[in-house]
Amino acid sequence: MTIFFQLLLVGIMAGAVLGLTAMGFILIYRCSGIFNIAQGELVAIGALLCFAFLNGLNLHPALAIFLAMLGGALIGLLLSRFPFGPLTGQPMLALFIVSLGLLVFLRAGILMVWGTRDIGYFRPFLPQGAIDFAGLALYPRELFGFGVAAALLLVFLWLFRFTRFGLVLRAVSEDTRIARSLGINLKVLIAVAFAIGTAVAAVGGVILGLTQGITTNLGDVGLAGLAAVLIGGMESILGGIVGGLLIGVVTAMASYYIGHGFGGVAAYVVMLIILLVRPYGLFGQERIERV
Amino acid sequence: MQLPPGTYNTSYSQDMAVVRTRLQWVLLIVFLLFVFVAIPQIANRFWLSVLINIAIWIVATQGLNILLGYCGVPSMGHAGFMAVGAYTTAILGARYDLPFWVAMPCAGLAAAAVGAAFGVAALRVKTFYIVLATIAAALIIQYLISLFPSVTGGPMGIVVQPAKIGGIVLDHAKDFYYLAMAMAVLGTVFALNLARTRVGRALVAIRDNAIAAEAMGVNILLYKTIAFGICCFYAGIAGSLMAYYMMFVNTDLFTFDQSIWLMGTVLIGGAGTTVGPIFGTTFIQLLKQGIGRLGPKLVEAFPSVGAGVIAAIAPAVFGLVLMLVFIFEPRGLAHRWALFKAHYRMFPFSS
Repeated sequence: MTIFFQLLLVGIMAGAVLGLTAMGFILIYRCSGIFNIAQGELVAIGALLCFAFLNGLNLHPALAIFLAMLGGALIGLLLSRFPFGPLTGQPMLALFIVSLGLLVFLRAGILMVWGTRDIGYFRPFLPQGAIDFAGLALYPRELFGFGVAAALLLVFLWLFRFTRFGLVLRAVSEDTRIARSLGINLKVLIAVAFAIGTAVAAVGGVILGLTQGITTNLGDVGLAGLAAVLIGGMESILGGIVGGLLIGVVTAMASYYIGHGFGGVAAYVVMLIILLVRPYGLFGQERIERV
Repeated sequence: MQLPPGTYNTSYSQDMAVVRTRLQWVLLIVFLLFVFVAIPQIANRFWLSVLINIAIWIVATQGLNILLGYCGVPSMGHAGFMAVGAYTTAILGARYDLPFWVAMPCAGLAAAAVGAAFGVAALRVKTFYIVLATIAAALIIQYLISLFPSVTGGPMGIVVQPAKIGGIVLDHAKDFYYLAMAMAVLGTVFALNLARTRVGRALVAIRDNAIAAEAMGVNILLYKTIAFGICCFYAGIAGSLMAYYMMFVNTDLFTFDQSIWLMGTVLIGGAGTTVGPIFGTTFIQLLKQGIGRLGPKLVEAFPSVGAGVIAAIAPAVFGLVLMLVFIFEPRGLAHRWALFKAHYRMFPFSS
């Protein structure tokens, strides 16, 4: 039974990163309708940037993470101009294909800049030993990651519910055209959403790098993040977090109880089952379509 | 089909003809002669391998085009279904010693069956959900392949015996070229005609407006599953060709990247047209092989830049091309070709 709870804990901690990836993704999707499949590569870039600041320039950890976030936000701003800038109002499939091109491009770009080798680990800035937590082993880096993810989630929930920005954002995701006619500057909003979305992805990358080490194929987490998004439903930030936690736990459990290879697939099996039962995800809104 | 000035359709058979004018016949025959007679004589090893790759990819992209272009359903698991075909070929050929003309159709049918099974589940959901569902399908297929190493050879893969027709063993690139090209031509002709049948029109109707199509009596789930099955059949054949060409099968041949490239190729060429996949494949494969050929020279010229950087040039260019095509010509190369044809037909009155 201890093992079960230990796996649960590990899964929840791992799920927090997926939740963060999903959160950035949903933010961009709700504002601009862009299904940004390249989100995983943005996560990888966040980790790599943080590694460069932390180990390369030997900066203070907090500063390095902040700079990685800033770098992510800048990349997001750039992305909202190119390639997505000229495509506002295009069909969703076209936007998706462009983000697919972006995925291939970023992946190749990461290989060009950082090479194919494993890069290493962050300069340790958290205590290394495990903490005893009611008989379970809990690592400070996992706790840190979970804490950051939870804090960001609370900030975003507050942002969406109680600020003007959140109101604007909800208006745009409800009906872009009416929101525009009411004087909302869509271009600025999309740019801001991209900046925040990629900054969140960068933080996700930092946390992922803490637990897994830095490699150039960290971006593969993007697909699991997308599965989390679909499990939760594409519209709901909370759904993304729940989906992420679910996938994290399922992956941890399946790797242990069924076999290591099944861990990577379990998330998708769960996703397929959930989509069969609830095609719009656990928290998604069912759309009624009219001709 | 738009006809040159002065040519009119006066009968139903003329209206339905695929090849309508004398010039088209001449061009078609010259093209086929060039492909099947001239190229094997003049092409060297490098060009033969490029052309075989193009032929195999045309089979795969024509299939994907039926699903993506005509039915409007994206599939990011195409390489996974190719893997099903390749492994079926390898197992039937190597373990049970079946000849290629049994193994290849079986590969296609196996891929179609797996595809239809996933399709029934995946096609209940829409657009982006399908994207992830098909990615999931490919990953699950990969997992299943790795789960039974006694059958699939695990990470070692399976060695495939070369295909045999009668007494001829197709173990040279030149011999295999005929088979691959013949399959590409067959696949293209079938795809061209499928688009003109009841099934093809039903698929286009679903793509353009699913609800209206349903109101007209088109069974959406059935036709989508048919499209998925046909798409996967093509993938199975392409995978089978790949297995015979490489004479070796393992899962590294059929990765997620491969699926992205296939989908991008169809879209760059122009989804929903028969020439699109051909243009896209030719363009992308020439780009890929050209950069691959240039690579070693670049490594020599800039030794300070690692070989990994050079290897990443091809995907970087591909990604960039995909983005730029969708910004400047969302309908792909096929649309450019249609514009060129219209220009030629109307000359000198075209602007």
